[in-house]
Amino acid sequence: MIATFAYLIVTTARNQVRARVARLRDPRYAVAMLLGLGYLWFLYIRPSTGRPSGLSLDGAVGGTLLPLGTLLLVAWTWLFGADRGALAFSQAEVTMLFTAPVTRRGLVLYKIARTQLAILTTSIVWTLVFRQGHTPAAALTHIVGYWALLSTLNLNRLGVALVRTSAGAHGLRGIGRNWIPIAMVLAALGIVTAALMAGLPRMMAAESPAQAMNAVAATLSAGHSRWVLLPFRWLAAPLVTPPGLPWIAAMGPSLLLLLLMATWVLRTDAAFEEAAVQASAERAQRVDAMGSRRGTVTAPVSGRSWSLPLAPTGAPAVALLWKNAMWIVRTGQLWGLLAPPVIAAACLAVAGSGSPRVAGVLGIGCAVLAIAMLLLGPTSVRNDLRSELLHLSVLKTYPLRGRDVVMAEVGSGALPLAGMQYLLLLVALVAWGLASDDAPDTMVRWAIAIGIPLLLVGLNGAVFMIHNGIALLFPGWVRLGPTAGPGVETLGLGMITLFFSLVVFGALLLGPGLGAAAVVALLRERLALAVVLGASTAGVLLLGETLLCARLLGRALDRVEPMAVGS
Amino acid sequence: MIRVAGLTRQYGDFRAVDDITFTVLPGEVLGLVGPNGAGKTTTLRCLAGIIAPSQGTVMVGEHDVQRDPVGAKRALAFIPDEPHLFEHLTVEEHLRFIGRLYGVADVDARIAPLLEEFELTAKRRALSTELSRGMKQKLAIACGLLHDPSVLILDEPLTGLDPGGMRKMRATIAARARAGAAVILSSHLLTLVEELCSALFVIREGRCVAAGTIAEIVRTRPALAGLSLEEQFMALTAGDGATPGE
Repeated sequence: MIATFAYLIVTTARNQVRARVARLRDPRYAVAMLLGLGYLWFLYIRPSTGRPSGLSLDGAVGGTLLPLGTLLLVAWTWLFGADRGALAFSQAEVTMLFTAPVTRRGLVLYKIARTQLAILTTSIVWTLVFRQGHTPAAALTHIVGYWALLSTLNLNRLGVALVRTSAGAHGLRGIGRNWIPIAMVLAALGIVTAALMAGLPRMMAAESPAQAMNAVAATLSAGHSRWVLLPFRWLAAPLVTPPGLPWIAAMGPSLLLLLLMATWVLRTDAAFEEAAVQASAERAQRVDAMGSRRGTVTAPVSGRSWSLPLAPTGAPAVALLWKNAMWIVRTGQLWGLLAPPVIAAACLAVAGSGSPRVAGVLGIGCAVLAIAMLLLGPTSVRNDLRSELLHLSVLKTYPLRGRDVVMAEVGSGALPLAGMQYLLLLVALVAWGLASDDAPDTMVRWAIAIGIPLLLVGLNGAVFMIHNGIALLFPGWVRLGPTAGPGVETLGLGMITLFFSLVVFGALLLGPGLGAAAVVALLRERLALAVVLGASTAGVLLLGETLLCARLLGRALDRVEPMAVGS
Repeated sequence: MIRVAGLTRQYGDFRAVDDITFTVLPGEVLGLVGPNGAGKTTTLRCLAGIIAPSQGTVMVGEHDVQRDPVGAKRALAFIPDEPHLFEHLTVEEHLRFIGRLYGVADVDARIAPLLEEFELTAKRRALSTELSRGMKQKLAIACGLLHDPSVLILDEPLTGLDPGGMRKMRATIAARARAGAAVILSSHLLTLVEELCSALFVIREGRCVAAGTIAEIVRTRPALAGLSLEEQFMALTAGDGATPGE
């Protein structure tokens, strides 16, 4: 059976690599791969002469924080973490393996073995990221050290999930098995917390971060916390021990823990299959939901009793806007968009009126967030073509012109974000007036409030048009729903996409910026009017460019076929 | 009415659909049959305007699917074998969404009977994620029928339906045809095809190997006489390149 599992794991990995290599025949992926490799080399691999060493796990950080962090991770898993998701298999695995003559232990063994490749990859990446291993031997020891640590943590997660399942299946007896380790974890946390509290004055008295770290290390190396942290120090030891005999000696206890953990997991008696099947079904449903609708968002659908009205007649493309707006409402993202301006307004009302400083900080915060959301917003609000393209075969059956679809999809993200930014800027304007006597007069602030809506819609329209355009024209460059796979070329594609987005956005801003500047220059004697007309001019010009782009992209949408985007 | 002339769809050097021609008049039900990989789904996707033909034309009424896709799509409904629904919309909201897309002014009046017809009334406020596979399929079909299409394209429409649902679906298809819709039905369920279809269009490797009523097909291929529908299908779609009677 082990040979069968090995065959499945190896052939799957081999085929994934083959598919990725085959993708490199496409020049854009090849270029992206080179860029990604170059990026990794530049940041993490190139010789480090004269450079700061970057992140490091040496010394007190590795010797103290790593064991402490590992303890916290294990405690978290026992107290809150490992749900049935740890038991999830793919649907194909459930269909093929669960119906095959494989023992429960065999399934658990397969589950453990299947994660090894991912753990090994993570170990290599972490070794690079933390710049450990300036020699091949040191790199190898760190990779092995990470592998042992991550494998042990993974086994712990799986074991906890099995124990919880067992608790569910065996009633009181199961709960009894469950609370003993939880009590032990709580005791360990209590001992460590007490030690840290006792050592707090020493840490506070430290004059540098290094001294503070040494104080933490000294505190945790004494008394009961020393023994509590001992197994976690064993796990961390291979990462902070130099290559050679000392490292081999450090690996011994680490491997012993790994072995013990593996034995415990394999011997755990649990109603494994049922829980695993259920966990797998839940995972498949989540993946399906993400794929079928909305990219990264996995928030529970809620609030179905409340619906936005939709007139049966009128521009058909409004139906798409309505559908995407319903997504924002029902995934809770609407509240996520409304929360920052509402909270900022509440804070301003409570504390800002009496304190110019608070008002100033709030105002600057709101303005910065509004600007940041212009660039960052589209990465989280993805209720547009980036998600819809996965169902292009459905979209293409609708009686809509491509440009109408593009405009509706772009508007679906741009309008809510523009609304959020507008509210933030309104709060910023009020705060500005409260914070400083030098703030522009009320008339100018009113002019800004009147002038910016159109500008915000134009700016967001342009940004979303770029993101949608890239998705439509270069579907391999962006994540469509949950389909993005890991890989160096993905990193490179992200860089190219970001660069391309910024260049296009800059080009789109050029004309409207000049137009607005001309208006302001002409009306400079009447500042309020200049602000209103300048911002509106820029907004109208941006919207004009967006409409033009929508026409061009609409033609592309009419031509693109489902197979090209994996639909 | 739907008229297909010289429809060809090529992927690189591979011809998935090769020069097929047929017409389905109002009230007719054409059964599109063939083995797996014969080109049925590619044909249906070309007819629905999802993919473009490499050659040939598809006319839905007076609308050329390539030149006037919006006009053509307004008149047709394509119901795939796998229902694609929106997880954040309820059953009723799906119908309202489709109603707006197709400009159905009396959508309120149409929703209730459709929900009743497909036994979805009790689920009208349920999200699509809360529906069983069969109910999802029923909702997808209801969405397709909401705007009263004059051309109905169905790809394995009975997938996932229970026996009662299958029976109702058969009745629905027949009723739509009687009401004047031109129906194209692709299915491997030969009994369904035999029961509903007024004509067959058999394809193999992208090409038409037989077309017409069963009687017409048998008349041109005497070797098929006396065989069951399944045997006739096997004979027509056998991979040796020859069909009985040719």
